[in-house]
Amino acid sequence: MDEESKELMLLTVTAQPDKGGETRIVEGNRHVSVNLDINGRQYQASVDIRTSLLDTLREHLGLVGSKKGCDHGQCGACTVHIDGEPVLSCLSLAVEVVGRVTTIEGLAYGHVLHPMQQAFIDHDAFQCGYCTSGQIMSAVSCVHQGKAENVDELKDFMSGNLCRCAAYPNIVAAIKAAALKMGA
Amino acid sequence: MPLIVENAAAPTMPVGSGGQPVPRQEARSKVTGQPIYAADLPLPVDAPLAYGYLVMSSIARGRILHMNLEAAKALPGVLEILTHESAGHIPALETFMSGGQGVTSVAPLDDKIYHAGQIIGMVVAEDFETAREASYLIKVDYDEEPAAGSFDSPHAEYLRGQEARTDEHEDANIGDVEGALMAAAAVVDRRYSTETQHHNPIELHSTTAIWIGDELVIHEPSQYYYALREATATQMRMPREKVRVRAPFVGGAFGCKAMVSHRTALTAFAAKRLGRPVRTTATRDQGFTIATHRSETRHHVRLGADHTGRLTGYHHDIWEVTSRKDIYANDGVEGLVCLYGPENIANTSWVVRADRDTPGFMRCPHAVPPMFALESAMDELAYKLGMDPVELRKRNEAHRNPISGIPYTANSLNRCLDVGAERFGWARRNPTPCSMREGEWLVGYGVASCYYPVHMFSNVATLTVTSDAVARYETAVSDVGQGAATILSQVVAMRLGLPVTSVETSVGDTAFPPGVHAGASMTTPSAPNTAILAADKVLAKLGLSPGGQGDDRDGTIRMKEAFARLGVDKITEQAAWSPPGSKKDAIPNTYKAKGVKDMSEVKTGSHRSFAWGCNFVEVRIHERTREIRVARIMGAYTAGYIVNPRLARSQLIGSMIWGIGGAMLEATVLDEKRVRYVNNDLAEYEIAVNADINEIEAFLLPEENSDFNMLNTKGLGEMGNAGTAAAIANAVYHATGKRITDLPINLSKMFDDQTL
Amino acid sequence: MDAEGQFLAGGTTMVDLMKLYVMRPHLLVDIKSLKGLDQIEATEDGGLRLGALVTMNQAARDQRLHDGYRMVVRSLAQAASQQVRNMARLGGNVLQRTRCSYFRDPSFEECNKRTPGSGCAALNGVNEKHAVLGTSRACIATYAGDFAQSLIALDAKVSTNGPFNGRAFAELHRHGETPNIETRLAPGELITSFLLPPVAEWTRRSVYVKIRDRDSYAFALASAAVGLAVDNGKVAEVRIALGGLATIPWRAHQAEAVLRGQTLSEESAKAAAEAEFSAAERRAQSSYRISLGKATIVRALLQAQSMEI
Repeated sequence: MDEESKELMLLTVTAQPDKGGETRIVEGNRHVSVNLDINGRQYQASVDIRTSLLDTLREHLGLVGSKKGCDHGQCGACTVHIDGEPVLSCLSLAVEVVGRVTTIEGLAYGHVLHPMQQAFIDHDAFQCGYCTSGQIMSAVSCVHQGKAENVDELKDFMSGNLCRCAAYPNIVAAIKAAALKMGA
Repeated sequence: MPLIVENAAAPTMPVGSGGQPVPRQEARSKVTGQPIYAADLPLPVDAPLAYGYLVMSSIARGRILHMNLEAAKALPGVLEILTHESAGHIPALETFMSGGQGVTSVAPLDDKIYHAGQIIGMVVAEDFETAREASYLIKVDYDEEPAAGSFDSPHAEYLRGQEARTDEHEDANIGDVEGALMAAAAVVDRRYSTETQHHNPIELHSTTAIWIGDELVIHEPSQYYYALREATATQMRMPREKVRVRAPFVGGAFGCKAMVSHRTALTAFAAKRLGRPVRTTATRDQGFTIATHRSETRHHVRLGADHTGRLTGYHHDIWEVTSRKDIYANDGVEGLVCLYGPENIANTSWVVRADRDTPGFMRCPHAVPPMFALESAMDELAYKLGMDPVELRKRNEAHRNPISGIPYTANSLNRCLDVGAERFGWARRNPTPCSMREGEWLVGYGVASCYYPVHMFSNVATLTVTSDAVARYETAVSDVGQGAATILSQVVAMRLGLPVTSVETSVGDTAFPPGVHAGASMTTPSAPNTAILAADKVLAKLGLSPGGQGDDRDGTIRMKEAFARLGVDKITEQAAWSPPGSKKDAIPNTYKAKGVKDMSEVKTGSHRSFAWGCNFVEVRIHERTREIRVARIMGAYTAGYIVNPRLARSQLIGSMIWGIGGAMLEATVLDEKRVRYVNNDLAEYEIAVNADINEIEAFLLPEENSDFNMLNTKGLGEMGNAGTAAAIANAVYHATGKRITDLPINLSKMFDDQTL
Repeated sequence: MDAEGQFLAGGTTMVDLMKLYVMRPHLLVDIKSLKGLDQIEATEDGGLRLGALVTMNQAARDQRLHDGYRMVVRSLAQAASQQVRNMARLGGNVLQRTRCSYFRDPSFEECNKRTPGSGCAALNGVNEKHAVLGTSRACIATYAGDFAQSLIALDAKVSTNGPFNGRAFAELHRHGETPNIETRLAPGELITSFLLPPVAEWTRRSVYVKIRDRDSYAFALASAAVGLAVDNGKVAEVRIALGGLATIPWRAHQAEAVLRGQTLSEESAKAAAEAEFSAAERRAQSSYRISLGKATIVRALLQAQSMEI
C-alpha cells in the first residue's frame, strides 16, 4: 500500500448483494458534507471523511455534551442514541450515520429534566461528571430495554460505561428510581 | 496586591457528624452536558482552531538521529511539525518533588530519549484526523541503547532513598528491631510486591492554547491551576500575570493532573507560531507516559509481637522504581507507624532508576503500596498468635508517632473497627481458612485498617456579596469531583447566614486568587478556613455577626437590611489563610506555586491529625475456575466535621471501589524487553465496572476532634482505598488458605499450585 | 475484501483499527443498509438462518435462539458492552481482529499479522493472554470473540456471495504461518448469513461459560461453549468449543471424543479436558490458562448436565 496516500472513499450500498441496486458514493479525501438530524434539528457540517460522529458533534457542531474518554469504544462516555438505540459515537463515522441522533443536550424537555437526569442529581450518581452524559444515555436505554428490573442485569448493562470516580452504586440507585417514573 | 497571612482563632462552628447533604452546585450542568470542562469551553477569539497531535518515542533509551517528516509534511492540511530541530529551545521544568511544577525535568523535545512514550514532536493540522495521520507517517531513526525496564534489569540502578532524594526524607531507625524480633512470641517474615498503575481519569489530557495579543489563555484540566500557570509562564518566557489558565471543572484527576506535561508549552508555542488557537488532546495511550503513574514497589516486612499481641518489632524495607532522570519516591514507613506505634522500627528505602517515565502521586500514594504489605502481615501475625485480626489491631492503639513522638489530636481507629465489625457481621466469621462456603463458591472475610494524615495548604479567595443577599465566592481551587465548589458555597452560606442557594462558588481559573492544590486530600481541611475569614470580613463591614448568631431574623432579610443601612450595592473582600506553622512567605508563594514544598502536614501546637478507618470485605472464589468476586465491602471511617455527608459518602464509596480495582484488576503491564507498556488502553487496563460492585457501605462515625483547623475538617478522598488491597488479600487467605503477596489478586495467582 | 477495500457495517473493529493506523482501507463499502440481511428466519429443516447484518443485541434478545440455542444467546450477551453489541453485526463480529497489543500498535515493528514477515513480538514479549492452542511460530495472538465459539460448536454453515458459500463455519478461520490471512473468504466476498442446525436436545442443553477477572465487559481468559445430550446415562451428543485460549475459534474435538458414549462425571469431564490440552503450548506467563481452560471445560460440562430445559 502506498504509505503517503490518504485517499478514502465510502460506498453505501442499499440493494441486495447480488441483485444490483442503489449505491451512494462519498468520495474522498478532503472534506465531505454531512447532514445530521440531532435532537430534532437539522445540522450540516463539512468534515474530513474519517471524522467520527463524536468529533463532528464536539468540534464542528458545538454539541460538547458527549465526551471523549478513549476514542476507541472502550469507555462509553460518548454514548448517544441513534433512533433510540445506544451507539458509541466515537466508533461511528459521521458520514455513515443514518437516523435520528439524540445527545445529552436533547434529553430534557425544555427546562424540565428527563427523569433520569433528575435521578442522577437526586442520587449523586456522579462525582467529576465527565462520564455522566454517556451514563445517562445508557441508563435511559437500560430502562427502555427492560434491563432495570433485575439489578444484576442492570449492572451488567451499565458496565460498558466506565466511571473512574466509581459512582456505580449511586448510578444503580438512580436508574432504579428513574425506572419507576419512566414506567409511570 | 496586599497580602496578609491570617491565622484567626477557630471561630465557633458546629462539630459532629456533619452539615447538610446538599446536591452538587453544578449537578444540573453535569446531567445536561453543559460546557464546563476544559475542552468544551467556547474560544474567546473568532479564529479557526488547529489541532495538535503528539508524536512519541517508540524506544526507551537512546538518541534521535533523524526524524523523517517528508511524508507527513506532504499531507494537505498539515500546518506545522514541532521537533527538537524545528521548535527551538523551550525551557525544562523542575519536577514537583523538587519544588517545581513539572511531570519531568527532561527538556521539551529533547533529542535524548529517557523513556518510551516521551514526547518527541507535535504535528499541527487543520483537523484532528489529518494531524493523527501525519503523526503515523513520521519515521524516526534512533541510536538505541539497552534500557532497564524495572527492578530486575541489569541496567537498573539501585540508590538509597535518603541519599538520592531531594526532599529531606530519612529512613526510620529506632530501638532494637533485631532484639525485638528475636524475643517476639510470633514473627511474620514476608516479601510483597505491587504493580505499576495508571490513574486513567475518563477525561483525557487536553490543552487548548489561545493567544489574545501578548496574553495567553490555556484551557486545560488541572489539580493546581497556579502551578500550570507558573510552568507555562516559565516555558513561554513570559510574565505569569499574562497567562490565564481555566477549566471550571475537571473530569477526574487522582494525581495525574497535579503536574505539568510538555504538551501545554508545545501547544502554546504552536498557537503562537501559527497565530491561531491550537488544541492538543493526548490520546488514551499517550496519557500513560506523559502524566505519571503509581510505580511498582517491593517490600520486605518482618513483624513481631509479644503474646498479648503488642507489636514489638517492625522492619520494613521498600524498593520503588523511578525514572532515569528524576527521583520520585513515596514516604518510607514514617506514615505507617502512626497506625500501631511499634516500639522498635527499622526501615531502609531504595529508589531504583529505570528507563521509564517519571512516576508520581496516585490516589493515596504514600500508603497504598506499603499498607498492602503491612496490613497483610498483620493478618498473618494474628493467625500466628491465634488472635482475631480485629482484636490484634485494637490492642495496638497508638496515640503518638513512635518516631517523632508527636501526639495525635485523636485516634478513632478502634471505634471504626468496632462499628465496622458490628455492621459487617464479623462475628459470623469462622477463623479457620477454607471453612466457609456457599454452593460452588468459597467464602472468606478479611479486614484491614486505613488512615490518612491531614495536610493543609495556603490559599486565597475573593468573596463578593451584593445587596440582594447573593454571594459569589472565587478561588482557583480545582473541583475534580470531590465537590470543592459545593462545600465552599455551603461554608460561605453557613457563615453569612444565607441559604446555600444564594451562594455560588467559582473555581478552576487563575483569574481568581490561588486556591488549594487539589491533592493529598487538602481541599476540605484547607479551603473552608479562607471562606470563613472572607465571610467574616464582609460581615464586619455590614456590622453583622457570623451565622446569624444572636439574631433571629431570616438571614436573607438580615443581610438586605444591613446593605440598606450601609447604602452600598456590594462588598468585595479578599481573604488569605495559611496552615499553622507555615513559612512567612507562604501566601506570596501560592502565586508562584512552589509545589510540594508549600504543603504542610498539620501541626496544631504539637499535635498531628489523621482521618481513620477500616475495610471489611467478603470475597467469593469459584471452586473450579477460581475467579474472585467481592460480594460485600464495608468501610467505617472518621474524618472530623463533615461539611457534606452526601459528597463524603460518594467519595468514600468511590475510593473503596478504587481499592477493589487497584487490588484485583489494575496493573500496567510492561514489556521488559522493549521497556514499553502494552496494555495502555481502557480495554486492556481494566478498572472496576458497575457489575464488579455488589453490597457496599461507607459509614461515617461522628468524631469530636478539635483545634487543627477552623471547622475541624479532615480530607477523606485518599483514605478509603489505603487498606482495601490487604483486606481483600486477607479475605482470600481466609477463603482458600492461600496468601497472595503480589498484586493484583486475580485468578492467575490461584492456579500456581493445587491449593483449592 | 482486500487491504485496499473493506466492508463497513457496525464499525466497531474497522473504525477502531483505522484510528490506530492498523487498517488503512482506501475504499469502505458501507453495507449497513443492505436489504434482507438483518433478519433471523426459520429454515426448512427446522434450523435458523441468522442474517449477517443482525446486531449482536438483536440476536441476544431473540426468543427462538433463547429457547433452542441457549449458548448462542449467552455468548452474545456476555460479549463486549451493550453499546458495542447494539452496533456490531454478526457477520463482522466473527471477523473481529485480535486484541494482541503488538498487532494493535504499529509502532511495534514486529507483527506477522500486520506486516507479514516482520516477526512476532509476543513470542518474547508479554504473552500472558495469548493463545495456548493453535499457535505457530509466526503468531500466538488470541481470537477474542465469543459468538464464534457457539457457531463452531453448533456446526453452523456460512452463506456468502462467493466461493465460500455453503461451507462449514469451522473452515472460515485459518491459522498457521501466514497469520495475516485470517479467513478463507475470497477478496470481495461477503458473509450474508449463518445457518444453524435443527433444534435438538444438545442445542437446547447448551451453555456458554466465560471466565474473566472483571465481572463484565472483559475478554475471556477462557471460555467454553458446550452442547450436551444424554441418553440412558451416557453422552449421546457433546459439542465443546473454547474461546480466549486459541488463535481461532476452537472446537475441542479431542475432549468430545473422550466423552462420547461415556457417563458424564467429574472424572470423565476432567479426562476430556486433559485430552484437549495435551498438546497445548506451555509458556511461563500463560500456563495458568491451561489449568483454567481445563477447569472451564469441566464447569461448563457439569453446568450443561444440570441445566433444566
